[in-house]
Amino acid sequence: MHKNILLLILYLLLSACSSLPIAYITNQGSDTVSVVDIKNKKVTHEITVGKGPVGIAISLKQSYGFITNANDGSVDVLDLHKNNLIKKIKVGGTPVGITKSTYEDYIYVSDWVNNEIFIIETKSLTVFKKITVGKSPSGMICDNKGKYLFISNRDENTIEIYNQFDLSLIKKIKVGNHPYGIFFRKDLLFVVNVLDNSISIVDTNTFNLETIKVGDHPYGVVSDVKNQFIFVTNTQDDDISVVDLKKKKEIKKIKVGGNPEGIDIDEINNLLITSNWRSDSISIIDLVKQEYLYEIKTGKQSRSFGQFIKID
Amino acid sequence: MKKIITGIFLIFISFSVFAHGPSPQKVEKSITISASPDKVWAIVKDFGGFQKWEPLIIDIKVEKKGEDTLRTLTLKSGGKVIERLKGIDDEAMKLKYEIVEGAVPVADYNSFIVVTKGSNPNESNVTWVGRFYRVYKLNPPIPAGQDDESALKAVNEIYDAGLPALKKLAESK
Repeated sequence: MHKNILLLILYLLLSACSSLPIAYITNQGSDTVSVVDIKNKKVTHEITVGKGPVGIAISLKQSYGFITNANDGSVDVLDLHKNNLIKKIKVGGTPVGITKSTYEDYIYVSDWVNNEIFIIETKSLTVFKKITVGKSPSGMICDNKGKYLFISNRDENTIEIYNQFDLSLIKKIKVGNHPYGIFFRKDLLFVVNVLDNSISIVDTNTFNLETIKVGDHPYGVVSDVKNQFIFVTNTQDDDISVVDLKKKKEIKKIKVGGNPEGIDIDEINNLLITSNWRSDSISIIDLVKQEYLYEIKTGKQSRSFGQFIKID
Repeated sequence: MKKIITGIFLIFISFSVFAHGPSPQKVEKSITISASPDKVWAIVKDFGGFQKWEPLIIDIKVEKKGEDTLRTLTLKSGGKVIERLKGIDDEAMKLKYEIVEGAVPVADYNSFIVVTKGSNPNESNVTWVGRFYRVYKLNPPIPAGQDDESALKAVNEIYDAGLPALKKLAESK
């Protein structure tokens, strides 16, 4: 009896400490962001945003979500504690990709049509600067040391590396055909090449480049914390490729929902989540077993291009 | 005159190669057919037999180009479309193809047709899905015929004409 009570207390303590992953899913077809409680498998809020939302970045410091609305040229700022829209920033053009600077002082937004990057200051929530980059800038990510901003330029098949401090161009590198989603971890930059059905891996110390075949029309990529495996959404195969970075090849495919686009990783709970454009849903995958777990319905035409998981 | 036409044609080609706005469009249509999945799949997987059940095309020519299987469709409304076979999956009963170039006002069009079991052995469901972009990729004003509506209308017409004709063909055989 006594032992049972102790176990119960222990259980309650553990549950209080446990971390709850929340996914913020941009829905192009319903002009909303679905707030999804992954453990309880349900959408808790549906926030109306601008037209054709695509990209997402989350600033943890302020608990803000930044959404690019490709069809009305705006960036929406969401308060992720209250789950409401607090500001609409008109940038013009066609904003698609979005990411935060390493220390969250800035949000970078790629304008697909005008070949520019807007830089939004997170303190004032205003556009503080813009720079011209390569053709059709798409995916963006920063390193963890505050040095680099990486950009994929879809229509010129390059990635560019910018200095985060003064926004000067450090290096431009040719990759495959139509680079889109990108991810960075431990000196390795991963880039999907949509029309080559491959990923490019760039060593950011030596700028050496390797290419590995994946599935049909890849869009998003993440790697695990040790850079053992990378996971790529194949939009036209309805699955993700698991690539072993030692063997340098795809070792497994995991079936997910229809037209998976965005992908993000939750290393605390050992989960991968994909947002599925055709099936209006997200798929949850066990990161350790590399197995499909379950699907949760979201708004219409879910995209979530960027990092969309927040741990509460 | 001929030069101008070639010029216009080249502009169109370059659009279909590079063009897409960032918001893809979707058309998804299904039909239930009173015929076995095997029978329906045999019709659907015949990449060169598309004109047998798509009333909007009047001619089809299939050719091999290296590893690629291509079909050139002549549309009833005029113009040609070149499509590439991306895969035939007999287990999943799924055919994948894409538009390489042509007279349908879409860009980066990818599609699949899948046959699934119906409620009894003599019934099948067919789902046809297309994901594509409008032709014009820049900001407004969008030229007439190159917007999302034109792209959606064209694909909807093809699917709406094809699926009932596929049903008729499979049920009559």
